Amino acid sequence: MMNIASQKSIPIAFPSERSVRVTNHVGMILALVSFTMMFLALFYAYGLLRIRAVAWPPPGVPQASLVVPSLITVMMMGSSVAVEAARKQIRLADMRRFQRFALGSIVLGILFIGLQAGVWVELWESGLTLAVGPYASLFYFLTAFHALHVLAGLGILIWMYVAVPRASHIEIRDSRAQVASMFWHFVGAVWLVIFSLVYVF
Amino acid sequence: MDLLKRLQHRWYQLVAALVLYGMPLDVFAAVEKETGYDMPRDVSLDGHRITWLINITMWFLVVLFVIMVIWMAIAMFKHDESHPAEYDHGDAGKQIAVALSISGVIFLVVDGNLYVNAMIDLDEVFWNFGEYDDNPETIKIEVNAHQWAWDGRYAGPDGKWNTQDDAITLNDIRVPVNRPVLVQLTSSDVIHAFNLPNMRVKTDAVPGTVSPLVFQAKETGEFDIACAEHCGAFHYKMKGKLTVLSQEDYDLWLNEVSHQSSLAYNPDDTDAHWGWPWKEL
Amino acid sequence: MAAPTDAYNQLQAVHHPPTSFIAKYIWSGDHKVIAKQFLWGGLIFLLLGGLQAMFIRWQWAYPGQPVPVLGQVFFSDSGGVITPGHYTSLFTSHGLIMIFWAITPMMIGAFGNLTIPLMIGARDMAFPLLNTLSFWTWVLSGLMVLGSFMVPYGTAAAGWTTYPPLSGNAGTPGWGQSLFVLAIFTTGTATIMGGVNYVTTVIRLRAPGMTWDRLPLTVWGQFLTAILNVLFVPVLAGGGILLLLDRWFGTSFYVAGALAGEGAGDPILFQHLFWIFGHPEVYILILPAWGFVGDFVSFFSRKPAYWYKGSVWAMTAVSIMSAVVYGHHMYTTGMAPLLGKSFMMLTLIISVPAELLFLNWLHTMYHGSMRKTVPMMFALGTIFVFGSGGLTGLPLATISTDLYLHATMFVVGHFHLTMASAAFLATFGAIYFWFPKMFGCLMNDRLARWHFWFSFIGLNGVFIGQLISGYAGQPRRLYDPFQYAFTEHLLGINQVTSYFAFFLAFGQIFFVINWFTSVFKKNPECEQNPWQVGTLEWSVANPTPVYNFLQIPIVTCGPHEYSNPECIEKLGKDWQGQWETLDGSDPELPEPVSTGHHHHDDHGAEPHASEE
Repeated sequence: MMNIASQKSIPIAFPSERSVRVTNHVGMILALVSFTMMFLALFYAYGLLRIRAVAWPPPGVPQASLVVPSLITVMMMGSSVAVEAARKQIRLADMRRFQRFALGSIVLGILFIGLQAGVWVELWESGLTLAVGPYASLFYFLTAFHALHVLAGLGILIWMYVAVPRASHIEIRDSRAQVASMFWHFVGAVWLVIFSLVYVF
Repeated sequence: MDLLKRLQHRWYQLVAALVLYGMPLDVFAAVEKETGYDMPRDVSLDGHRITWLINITMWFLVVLFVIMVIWMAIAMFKHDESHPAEYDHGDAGKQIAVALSISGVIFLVVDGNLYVNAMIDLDEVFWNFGEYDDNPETIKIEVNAHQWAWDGRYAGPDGKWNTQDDAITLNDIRVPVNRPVLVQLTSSDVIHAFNLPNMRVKTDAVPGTVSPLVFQAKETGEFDIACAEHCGAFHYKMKGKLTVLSQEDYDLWLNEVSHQSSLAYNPDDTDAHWGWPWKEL
Repeated sequence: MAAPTDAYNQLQAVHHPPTSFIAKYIWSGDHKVIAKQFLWGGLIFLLLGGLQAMFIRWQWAYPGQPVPVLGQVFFSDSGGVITPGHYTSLFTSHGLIMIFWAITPMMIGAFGNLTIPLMIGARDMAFPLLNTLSFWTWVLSGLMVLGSFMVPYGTAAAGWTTYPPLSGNAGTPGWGQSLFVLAIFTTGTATIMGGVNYVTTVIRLRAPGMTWDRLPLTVWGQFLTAILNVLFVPVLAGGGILLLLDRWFGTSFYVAGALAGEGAGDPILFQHLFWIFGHPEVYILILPAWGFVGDFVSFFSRKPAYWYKGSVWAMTAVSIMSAVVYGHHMYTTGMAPLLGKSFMMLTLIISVPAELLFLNWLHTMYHGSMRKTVPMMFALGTIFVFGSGGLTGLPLATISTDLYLHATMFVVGHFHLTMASAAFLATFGAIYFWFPKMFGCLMNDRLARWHFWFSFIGLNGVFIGQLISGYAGQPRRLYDPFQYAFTEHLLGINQVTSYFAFFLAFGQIFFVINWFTSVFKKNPECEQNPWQVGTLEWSVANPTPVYNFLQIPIVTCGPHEYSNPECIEKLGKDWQGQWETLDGSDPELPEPVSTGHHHHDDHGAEPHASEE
């Protein structure tokens, strides 16, 4: 889309590759700020509806056991650890180990979604349907919306898996992995909040 | 909230619609028409506070605006291309102090006047629901808004709400003169707003909540009740009538309506039992 | 030594001119092309939104009468008469279209894109692909809006504020309302993309010497708006998603009253989420206008912007406070009194920075040497309407007075003066001002002045008329406002107001003629700096070359260096360009500020500053 001009006669401001990285990181941080505000709005909704409710959870409503949710929380955190481990491999120039760790984080992410879906099915069948009211609406929506972002994150991790080894320069590899990891850690952090709100408290 | 459960039945809406559209507009002819661009006649005890505060603020605003326009006119016509421009960045300490002082003075005078008077008026009258509620003189009315009419409910001789002797009205709120009135409002479908222009006040009627509104009339007469929140295609016709009567006329009317409602009471008609235990304020 | 070419060339490459039609007009990546795309798109929707406003004014002037000519086209199912159902859709879509599909793309999409890179000395935005995607996402949202008019049950009809339960399935059934909410979500996504791009660009791509205190006020306005967009459009997205879930999946976020099953949600929750977005949104729609005005008043008074830092602080303070005043839209909802009073206090306080901004503009033009150019007339007009409009915000900010004024035409007059009129006049001022950068030559001056006077008189007539009828008690959003004893007599003023509206509409013809003749005029001989101003975009040819700057400029001074006696003496003119030195020497690169990465280029010259 954009042609590259010869640099011979044209001095260019900010010529360092580090400055490109910083620019990309600033962009990702701003995007994450946006996503954070959206989730904050949803948490605000949770807070307001919960405060106004007479009883929370409403009486007679099936509750999820904490076993599977805790397990997937640990998996999510493990997935973030795997991403960081992958990033370390970039500086050591070991692409094979990088890809192994990256794959590990992707697999953990997929398992997260799969087990989460299992929890949904089980709860729905035992009577936690939308007719219950805002309690059910919030539960399903917060977890489902998060899962949607996990899917997006998986897409980004897959991109990272492919694009990092392809980059020609170690700084660019590092930058791509960092941008991807920022998003993935964000998704994990949001999960910790949601886990606390809908499962624990 | 579980206080206000009410299933929507089409026939109730249809009856209300028939009554509303069937009524010739003449019925409302008794409400005195306004003229001019002033606010509608204020027949409330405390509405003058709002009238005064709006008017004095508008005067302040006009003065400020005129000063601004004169300033701009001088700049446009005297300081035009024939006038040499000053190379002044305006960031000397003294200049900054002047700018901040002007803003500060305007803020203290105009905004300060608004703030202080509003706080007093809200605490003494318009949001002083607790005092109105505790006062044994207060007339208490429950109003349920729905598309596109106003249901009124008075507790009746037994003093209890949602019982057989409750006086039920449609688009027709009557109060005695010179007595405080406390209305509790809700809606059974979408958000509406109960607007009494001749009392200067309005409050939203929100499904799932009960909202209070207070006023006190100091003149008898007939006045408009308007809906002030978009509630569908016939929002513009959601008109009610507020009638202020002498104490004797009010007592007679209330007894009569309570009697009629009592006769019409059907224990199986849950729709009609939309009332709720009075919310303590 | 050499940095890999793809790294920094991707950021600041000198573009070769595009050759294919697609690369030139459709999928460009060039911020200047995208700016024009947004401008055309916004103008088309402005026409649609304006037409809807005319229909509303017709109905208020001649209630129940068939609309001449156009009635047969748009309301053929009712013989040209606007029905109550039509009417609710009209005011709903008028508001939404004007905000999201007219003002936002024109003022922010077009002028943010055009001005930011050029005024900071960059070759393009930080993320050109994201920029292109942002435009086409907006187009998609526009198609959804148009589609919503064609579905059974019609388009959205719950007011632009979209309050549930009216905006839920029971209140407004059908696909129209849902499509419109989805369209808002989509355009919001486009806006966030743009916001991320603009903020990153201003932070990262300023030319050497372009310090924060030398940024034109236009750029400050766009920058702050973009930050607000990044922060608060997502909140609207959240609120909107919950509404769509209620409509499509039977959730109960906003369902209450008789419609609720066992568990009730809270309709007021939507209002909170909506207004946490909605109040910053009105600042989003005015900050760029304040930026234009701040710059134009300085440029055309030939005088520095008075207390520039104060103006920047004022705009920043308003932005920071914008989210904490939102409750003033909800005073009558029955909120806790203490909460309401806090909102009142904060709302009154936020008026102070705005007053300060005005004082700075007035001080700038005083003792200036005013050139009443077309952009200056539009800037003066903006100050005039924002002055009256802003002042009327004070009785609305105050709870007790708002108990009377809420939901009357006074509110409508207030926000149409501050939002519609001010943004309208400022945006057209911007169009006339930057037209040469986009298309080559100036637009026709005489037609522009006719356009100005018809618009200025029309806008003031309509909205002051609304202030008057609102003061007299006329409620808003009424199909037939004259049903009540307290409003029956207001037909006269409503008719007069409508005549001003038709006058305003007629006056746009001068712009339309001017626009089409100027855009398609083939005239290669155009002055490079017709306004004689010193911001960076005027240092390059008209229309702007694809690559913006052949050499990234080194910035030597602020954007408002007018009538400096030293400059008049040494350069022989009353303005100093931001790329010029007073002694005629070549500007020197400023010392690098940070300890960041230094890089030597091929010529072995001094290290370039890599961060500021």
